[in-house]
Amino acid sequence: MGNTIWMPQLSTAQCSGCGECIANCPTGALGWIQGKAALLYPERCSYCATCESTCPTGAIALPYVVLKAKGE
Amino acid sequence: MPFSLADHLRQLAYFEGQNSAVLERMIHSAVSHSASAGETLFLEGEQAAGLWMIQTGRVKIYKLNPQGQEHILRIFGDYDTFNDISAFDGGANPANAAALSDTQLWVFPTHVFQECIQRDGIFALRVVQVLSGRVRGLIRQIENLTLYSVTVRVARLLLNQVDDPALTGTGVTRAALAAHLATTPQTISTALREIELTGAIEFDRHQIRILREDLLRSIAML
Repeated sequence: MGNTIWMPQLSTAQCSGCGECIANCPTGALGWIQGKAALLYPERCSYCATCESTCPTGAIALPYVVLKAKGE
Repeated sequence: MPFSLADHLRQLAYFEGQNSAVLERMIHSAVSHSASAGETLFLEGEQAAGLWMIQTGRVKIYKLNPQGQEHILRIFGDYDTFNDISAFDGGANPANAAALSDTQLWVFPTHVFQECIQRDGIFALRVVQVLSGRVRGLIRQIENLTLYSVTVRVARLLLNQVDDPALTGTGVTRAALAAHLATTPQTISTALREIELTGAIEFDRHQIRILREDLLRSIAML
């Protein structure tokens, strides 16, 4: 998988437009596009998963991988 | 390298060391199926199409309560098979299935599987072994859900995920894990932070690195 996939994935179909993720994003990476949440500033995203955890409709997904550190 | 269904099948527990007659019968009966992320593959209670096998992608098997709350029983990835029970007893689907990511699958009709079991004793034994593994997995799952805290469950899942990359990646999110571990995404995040504070893991954007497996195993009570 390339690097571009590792960004929050927002589903406009599932987004209710409640704004919880925008209000809670600690880096201000999210904003509005036509009444729905969108990743306006991807360079600000720290991948903290706050948006995913707070979204009441499950519209935001942050996939991840689990790895062993070298030497483990 | 072009995809070979025969090579793919040989890597499944069902067909390990299997004679070519069974493999050929399965290959000729196989039906290809593509699904987009979020697409429902089948519903609980419907007549089962057969045994499903994932070529690439992620699939969740889940139940819904009357309020629509989802509990994910299993997450499957590349080379996994699912809906085995219906394929063997010819009954209805025991749960729902949906693609977590864009997924390429194969379906093997129920009657073909049953025919192979009747004809080939070694294949029948493999089927019993695979189903036994499924039962053991369900017992472990009940144990985790009923006897251990969310933090212990998350630690156990991380250890499973590092051994089985099919359990991570596209479509496998905290929300999906929450639905699997019978908790909320917020609780998953809290448990991950608790584990991080012990020094057992660290976060690096999309990566969760296990720094001390011994410590993580201790948290997982293993």
